[in-house]
Order: sequence, then structure tokens, then C-alpha cells
Amino acid sequence: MKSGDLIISVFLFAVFGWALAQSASWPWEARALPALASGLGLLLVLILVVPRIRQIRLFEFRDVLPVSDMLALFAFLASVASVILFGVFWGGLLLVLSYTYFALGRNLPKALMASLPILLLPLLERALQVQFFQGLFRLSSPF
Amino acid sequence: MLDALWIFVSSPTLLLWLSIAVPIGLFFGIVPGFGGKLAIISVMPLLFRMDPASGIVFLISLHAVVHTGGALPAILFGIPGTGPSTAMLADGHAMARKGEAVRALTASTAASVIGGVLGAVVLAALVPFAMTAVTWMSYPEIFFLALFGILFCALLSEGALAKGLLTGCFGLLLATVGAEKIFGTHRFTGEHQFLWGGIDLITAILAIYAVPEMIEMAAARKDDTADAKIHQRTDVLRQQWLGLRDVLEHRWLTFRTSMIGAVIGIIPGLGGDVASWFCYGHAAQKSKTPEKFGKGAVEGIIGPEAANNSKEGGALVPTLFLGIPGSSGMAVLLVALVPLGISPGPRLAVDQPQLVWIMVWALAASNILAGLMLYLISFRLNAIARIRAEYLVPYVYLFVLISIFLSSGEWRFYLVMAGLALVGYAFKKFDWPRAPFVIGFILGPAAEDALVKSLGIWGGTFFARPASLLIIAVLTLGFVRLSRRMIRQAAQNAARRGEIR
Repeated sequence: MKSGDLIISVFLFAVFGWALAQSASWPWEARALPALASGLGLLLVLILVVPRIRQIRLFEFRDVLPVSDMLALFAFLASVASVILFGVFWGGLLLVLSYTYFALGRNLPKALMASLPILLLPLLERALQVQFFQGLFRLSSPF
Repeated sequence: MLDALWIFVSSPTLLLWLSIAVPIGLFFGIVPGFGGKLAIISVMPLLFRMDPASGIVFLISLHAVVHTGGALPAILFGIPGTGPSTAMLADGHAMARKGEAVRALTASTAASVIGGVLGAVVLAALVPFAMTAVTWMSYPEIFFLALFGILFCALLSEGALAKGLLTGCFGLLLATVGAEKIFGTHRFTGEHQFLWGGIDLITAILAIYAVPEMIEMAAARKDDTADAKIHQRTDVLRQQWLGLRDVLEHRWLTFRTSMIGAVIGIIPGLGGDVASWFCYGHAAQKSKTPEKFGKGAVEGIIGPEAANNSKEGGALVPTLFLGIPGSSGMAVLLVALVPLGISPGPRLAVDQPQLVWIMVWALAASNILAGLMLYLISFRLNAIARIRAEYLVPYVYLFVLISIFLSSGEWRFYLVMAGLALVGYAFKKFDWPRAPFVIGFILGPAAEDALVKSLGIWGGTFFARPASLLIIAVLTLGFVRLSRRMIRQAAQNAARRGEIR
């Protein structure tokens, strides 16, 4: 059994177990599907993990997640944070600029050029007559 | 049917959306690394202001032609634009190396057009059947169909049967988050008021499907342009004629593989890769010169390409009429129908028949238009095929974030998206199938509604209806097959471990 499979199995076991425990006090109409899904899920985790329990060995975190993947995940979480704080336009600009800066070999002028299409976002906002998320800092877009 | 055709051809708006969608779809197919799913995700913010007919024409046309464009980088550079284009890569690229790139492209385009149109014919032929079938379906059957969809997808997850069922259960469980309909019981919401309405569908599906794709693209940048040089002759018109003649000569192969593709498309969970490879094998098996396969056999292009496009028509059958997406692309398409106010499921063909027929016409028309466009400019498309998909990743990701906010109207769903995206990334990284999750999540509310109503009306014997018994019989057969395969796999694994020791 791979280390990743074990991590996901443990995660799902915890989720299904918690869900089954939560649903115990609900009326049957509310409980029917969550109990069915989590009960079946628990059973399947056991079927998946128990026969292979002797194969499980200690692993190093680097085996599960290489450095490039960890960096990509960190960048993803940072981009979510920047959009939540600064909104779709400014957070998006930060995301596109930093991404293209590294993707284009740390070339700032090229990265700036590649980020130009983001100026279309406020126009799209106006054309669709919708308000994109402004961010917790409420920064308005330049147009 | 003909009313819908008249509405379609006489509406400048629908024709305009068709002509906008086709080049966008081709572009997403041509740029290696993208595909139908990311194409739909990128245009999703536009859908929030569209009327249903325009939106459906736009979506269907965009999605239908992606694989037609995917053949181009496969032939020119040996890089598949989309996953299913891999099947024709060896022969297509071998022809390009011999200086027959335009001939290969023309054969591929013509086969794609014929396949796409025949796929639309299969869809059209099944619409009346869907209208009849809906009359014998009630709540128990809808509940069992939801289970059937999850089971089928898990069954087809090669080597990951239990994992597929587990992700399906996880999807079902997440679908129950929020206030329950009858008593308003708050389930798994904690103190968070924004979860009372449940987890937003677009947020969940984009987080599990789209975001992991983009994280992976960002993490694994590679140089795609190494083999970009091809020898092109100037006799383009002659090669175009040869390509068309190839398809005419192999017309029965084109027809057969189109039909096979459409049937494979109907089976939920199989997808374009299976259709393409199966038809590649079929073409090689029926060929008079099988030794040429892999070295530039035109049948090796025609078979997979026809199947690739015809499968779209087939895949729309379970997606639209059962609400069970036939492939991951169809799952995203299903989600994209939400902003348009279209609810796929057994009632669609009865409640909105005109919309269904417009889809059929859009599917056929978009394939023809894509064929014409590629035919006219195929030998000038090298530049687009050289665009590297990873440069467009942040923009597509931004469109994902916009779609999530427009759909949910609540910034906290970005946090839900981040959490689910990490789970989705783990699923992708460790080969846990995500299609059953999507099906479980999409069908969860309908399955719960049907289960509670069935128990309320018929009690514990709700399954004793003829249609339910039929579905249960199929489910049981599925389970028998599932357990036999699991036992066989376990035995094989044990034997392998024994060999290693």
C-alpha cells in the first residue's frame, strides 16, 4: 500500500466516522443518506486498509510530496489568500505577475507584458454587469 | 425537431454564439495541456448572463470541437493536445515527418466531422426513447439510478474499484451538507451560516477537478517545443484532396468507429481515451496492412478521431437524460448548466424538448463549422500549437475564482475551495478516481430526495417495483462483477508479493 493511499484512507475514515457519529441524533429523514454514505464508506476503508495493514511501512514525507509539488501547493494557498485579501483584480494581478515572472525565467518586463490581459477584467465586469469579489481590503479596480 | 432547427438557423444570436464558441474550443484543443474541461471552466463567468438557448449552444459547440483541434499538435509536433488524441499520435506524427502533415490533418478533420455528426445522430435517435423511459421512472428508480451511476464509475476505475466507491461515498456525504429539506436539520454546518444552503456545486466540482489540474501543470513545467520541426510540402491542395480521399476510401471504418465511439460515450465513466484506443485497435485489426500502424497508417488517424468526436454525442445521453455524466468533461459541462438554469435529469427531455433538439443541432453544426475552419487554415496553425498551456494557467485559475464567487456570492467558499482542492490534489496525485466523487456530489440531493420520498410513500418495500427490480438486478450483477474483480486483484497482488519475496 502506498503512503498516499494510507493518508487518504485515514482522512476518509476520520470524516466518515465523524459524520456517522454526528448523524446519530438526527431524525431518520435527515439521517438516511449521510448514514448510508458514511457507513458504506467506513466499511470500504476497512476493506481497503485491513488486508494490507502488514504492507504499511514508515515513510518519509518527501517520498509522498516532492519539493516541486510542495512549492506549487504553497503557491496555490498563497494565491487563494491574496485573492481573499485583495480581491479578484489586485489579487489576480499579484498571482499572474508572480507566476509569469518565475515561468518566464525571472524576466520582469516579459512578466509585465504577460500580465497585461488582466486589465480586461474590469471591462469584463462591466460587460457582464456583475461585481467580482472585491477582497477583504475592499480595493477597487483601476477603471 | 424541425422547429428547433428553424429556431437555430433563424436566430442570429445562436449562430453568433456558435461561431464564437467553435474557434475558442479549437484553440483549447490545439494548445497542448488544455482540453474540454478547462475550456468550459474558462468561459463559465460568461454564462451567468446568458439565456439558456444561447448558453447551451455556446457550451455544446465549445466542448464538441476541442478534440478536433487536439489532433493538430499531435500530428505536427507529436504532442497530444488532448488526452484522447494520444491514440493517433504515432501515425499522425509519422505522416508529418514524411511531409504529409496536411494530408494527415485533413483526414483527421474529416473523420472528426463525420464522427461528430454521427454522434449527434445517435443522440437524436435516443431523445424519443428518453422521453418514453421517463414515464416509468419514479422516486425509487431515481434513487437506484444515482447508486448505479456511482457504482458504474467505480467499476470502470481500473485497479481502483474500492477507491472509486470511497470517493463516490465522500461525494454523496458532502452533498448532504446544509439544512435538510423536511425538518431543516442543520447537517455538518457547525456554526457556519454560509453552509446552511449546502456546499456550492460549482465550488466543489472546480475544486476537485480543475484546481488540481492547474497545480499539477504549474508543478511540472516541461519543454514541449523540442520536436516542432516538420517538413511541409507546398502542394497543400493536393494533400488536402488526398486526406479527403483517405476518409472516403475508409468510409466504413469511419462509420464503424463513429458508432463504437458513440456507444462507448453512452457508458458512464469510460471517456474519450477508451473510445480512441479501442477504435485504434479496431482499425489495426481490420486493416489490410496492419504492419504500417505506428509508422504512418492513415487508418490509425481516422479510427480514433472519428470515435473521439462521436463519443461526445453518446456521452450527452446519460449526462442530459439521467443526470449521470458520461465522462469528467461531461461532469464539468453538467455543472456549467447550473448558471443557465438547466437541470439535467429524466425530466429534461419532457419539460424542455426544444432545448434538447437545439443541443443536437448545435452538436452537428459545430462539428461541421470546426471542420471547415480547420480545413481552410490547418497549415497555418503551427503558431497556436506552440503556445505552452502553463502560461495560461493563472488566467484559467482566475476564471475559476471568478466563477466560484459569481456562483456562491460568498467569499468563505474560497476557503472551502482551498480545502477541497487539497483533497482533490491528493486524489489526483495518488490515482484515486475523482469521477465517482463528482457523480456522488451531483446526484446526492436528488438521491436523498428520492430515498426519503420512496420510504415515505412505499415504506421499506419501495424497491419492489418492476423498474426498480430491473435496476437492482443490474446493480447486483455489477456488485458480483466488482467483488470477483477485487478478489482476482487481491490474488494477483498476493502472487506478485510472493514472487518478490
